[in-house]
Amino acid sequence: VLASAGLVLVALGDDRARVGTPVAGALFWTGLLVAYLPLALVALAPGTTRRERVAILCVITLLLSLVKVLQQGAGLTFYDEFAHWRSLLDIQRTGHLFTPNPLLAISPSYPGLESATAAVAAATGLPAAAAADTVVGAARLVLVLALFLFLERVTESPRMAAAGTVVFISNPRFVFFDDQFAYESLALGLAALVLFLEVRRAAGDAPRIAVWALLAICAAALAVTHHATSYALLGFLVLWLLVAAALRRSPPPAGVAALVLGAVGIWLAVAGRPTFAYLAGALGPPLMELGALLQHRGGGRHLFQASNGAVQPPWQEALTLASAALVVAALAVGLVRLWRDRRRQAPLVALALVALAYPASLGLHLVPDGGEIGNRTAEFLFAGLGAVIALAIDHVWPARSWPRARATALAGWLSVVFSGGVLLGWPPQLILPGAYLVGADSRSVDGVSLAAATWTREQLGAGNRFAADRTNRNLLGTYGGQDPVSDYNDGVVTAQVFLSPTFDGADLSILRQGDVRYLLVDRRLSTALPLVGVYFEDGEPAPVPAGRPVPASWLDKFDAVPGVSCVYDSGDIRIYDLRGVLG
Amino acid sequence: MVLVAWMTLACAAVVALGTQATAVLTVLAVGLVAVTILFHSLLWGTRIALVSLVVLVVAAAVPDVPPWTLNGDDARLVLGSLTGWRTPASDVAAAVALAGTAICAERVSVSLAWDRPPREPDQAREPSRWGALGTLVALAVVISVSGAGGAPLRLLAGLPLVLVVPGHALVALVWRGHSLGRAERALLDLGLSLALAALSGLALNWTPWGLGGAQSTVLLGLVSLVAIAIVARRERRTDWPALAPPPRAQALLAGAAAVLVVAAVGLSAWSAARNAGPGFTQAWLVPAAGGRLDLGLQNDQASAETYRLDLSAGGRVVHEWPAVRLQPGQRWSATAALPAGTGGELTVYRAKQPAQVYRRLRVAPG
Repeated sequence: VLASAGLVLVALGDDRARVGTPVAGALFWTGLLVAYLPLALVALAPGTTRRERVAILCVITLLLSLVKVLQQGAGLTFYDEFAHWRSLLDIQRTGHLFTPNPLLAISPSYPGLESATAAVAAATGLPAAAAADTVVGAARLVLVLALFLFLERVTESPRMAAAGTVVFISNPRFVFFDDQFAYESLALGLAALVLFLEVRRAAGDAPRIAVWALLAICAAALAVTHHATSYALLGFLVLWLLVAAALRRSPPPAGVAALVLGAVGIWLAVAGRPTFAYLAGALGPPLMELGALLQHRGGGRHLFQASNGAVQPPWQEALTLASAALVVAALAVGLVRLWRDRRRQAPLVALALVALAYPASLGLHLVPDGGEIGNRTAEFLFAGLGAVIALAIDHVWPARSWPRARATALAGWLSVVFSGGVLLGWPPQLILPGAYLVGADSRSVDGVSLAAATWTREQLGAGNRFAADRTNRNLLGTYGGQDPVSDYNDGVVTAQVFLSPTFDGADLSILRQGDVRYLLVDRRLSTALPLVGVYFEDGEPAPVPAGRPVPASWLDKFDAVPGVSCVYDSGDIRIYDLRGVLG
Repeated sequence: MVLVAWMTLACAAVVALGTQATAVLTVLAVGLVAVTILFHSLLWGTRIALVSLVVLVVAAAVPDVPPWTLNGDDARLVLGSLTGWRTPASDVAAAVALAGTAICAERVSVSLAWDRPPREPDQAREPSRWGALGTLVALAVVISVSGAGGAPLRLLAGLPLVLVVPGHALVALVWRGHSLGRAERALLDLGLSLALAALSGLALNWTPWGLGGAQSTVLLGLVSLVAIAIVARRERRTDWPALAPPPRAQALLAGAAAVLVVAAVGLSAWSAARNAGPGFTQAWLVPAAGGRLDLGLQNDQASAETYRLDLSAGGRVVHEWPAVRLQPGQRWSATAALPAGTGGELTVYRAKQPAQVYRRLRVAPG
């Protein structure tokens, strides 16, 4: 009841944030901690039964999953969600997979999440967004349950398993990123399920043929759901295999590693061929920046400062740093315990090796494009961290004694790690809802943009080629059913057309190259620099003078171009028809 | 295996020959007939097959429009097609599919020994947990596909049909000889159901039906029913799980927690709807077929507003709408024509600021 009351406080905080009241932050953070901390402490308490621990972990997961739902309301507003939503809409519209997706070309190649969501929507009659939240919520339950049961086998202790799972839930991505409608959200649960089945198989505690059948189903579902998670699972299984071989422990997970490798390989051959190019595009720039930084050649990134210059309050900086420091300290204690007591246990050693990458992942936050990659590794690293820190928790707060002072210290540790993690894993400006912000992903989705996107479907029909900024591109691709053009998917840099003082032949050439029929201009872009660093997409030309928003006259220039029709105007958003100039 | 193979091949024939609706109904009917005969009796299975066949024949004959929109000629046409000598090939295929399924299922029931003696022909079996579950699954498929009972019932039926039952049935089918705790069981039910739902899309994508409608529901329902049927044959008498009600205080606290969660969600929805922003007005001017222009306004402000619209061509006002009053959320639209070869400009004013241009749209010539 107390934790549920915390959720009410979160909803109140969201409500106050929508009207811009300063107390919103206090309500939200208090509610978040009330929803998390009491349950987390009971889950770790010595007297709690195994059944209670399982139930509590499930309740924490459900409550934290609702935090994002409370912020969003009835729709999907996170940046990555739009791409998968488009794939889902295409499946529902065409009845088939693999329809090209103008928002994220790789998405149709991994249709597991969308297939499951389409099945739920068809069976229940739920709208797409509600079906999406349902599937992701179920997947998160699977993830937490599977991780608990896996760690319980590995540590041979329900309490340590609960501790490891609570630490995992405290990872920076759990509350927001892993709760979004994106393929990784489902894939993490399937990967954890594979690990659970494998430890049962390895212990001889499962019917031999049946467990292989279930492993094959899970591996296949994982391979068709998300590339990076399936590779991460494969990497972990190989690591576990090597550790088991080095420790001469049997049985190593060779069979399941081969199974996952086979599933990944088959899917790569069937539909996943664009994967490597996609991953190279996503991982290449931050790794090159990190290399340059290490060689003192590249410029670093201002920590705790958004791309538009907005600076986080000092308390947030302190909390974030303290969170990372406490995790590293607990990792050190856990590693000592591991070395002393359990260094012959292959899965635990493999998990510890994964956890050791955590300090290195913090370094990625020092380069401009690295924070995203650093954050994206968090859920994988925290699976390892959970196991190792569970050893530390069991050592510092042993089950046989649970004095008040130590319990208070544990509560403090959990509070800082959890809330600091939330700040580290999600842009602070996007944690609460509120008024429109320029280039701020979910905070840029408002009624004005939604109305324009919906209008295009009703008045222009679906499937038109549009050029627009990053937020409106997503809305056009989903609510509007249009085909927005981007450098990312089409290799056409339309940002140049908007971010220049005049409209000339070069612009016409770009638009012809992209077969663009309509331009959507959001005039609010001229009011501020984009929070995420770009108005349109990476590599766009910087406005002149640098550090100032794009001038309004640059966005209004299309009004004076002969042959360009202004077919829609809502004050902030205008839509231009280019048929008169492109022919 | 013979039964499963027959059901698959027979349904494939109907899918190839009939419409999508016929195909879905046939798959559903074949599954129902098989389960009924396996669980209950040949007599009831035959009755269901006959009723299904009538429904299929009518469904194939009736055009894809609501019955109340049919006029007298249409109705005569439908009756004629029902009574005419030219029976559609899909109906014959469906009849063969149903009859074959009934025969195969009956043979399975009386002649194949699983791990227990076969039942006597036409002797009703004592209902087991699996029998009850199979019936519920079949019912859930029907509710989910037909939408009978409205949205809440469809939600109640559809959610477990996709997210719980397929995994539960699969685990019951293959996991033998090793115990599973409640947590493990819940994990496998949910996790495997999600995995099967994810893979169902792939399986259906390479069929003529695709996965756009109720196909995934039917597929997951059939997979579950087949697994349940086999488990039911294997474990003829299974004890019902003992479900002790939770202590009263615990139930009350859980209820209070649920109320708080619902309150939080409700508060959030209300808050989001109340704080929708300052409001705005959409205006548009779109070239339409035949050289005409579609123009319109939508008032997305919190209060009513009166607008004046001028449509001009070549510097001259050709249409004027002096007072268009729109309530919040109300939309207004009109159609206008311009002189050939000229462009047009639509200027919108608000009554409270009549001299200030509020929106300006234009269409280029040509």
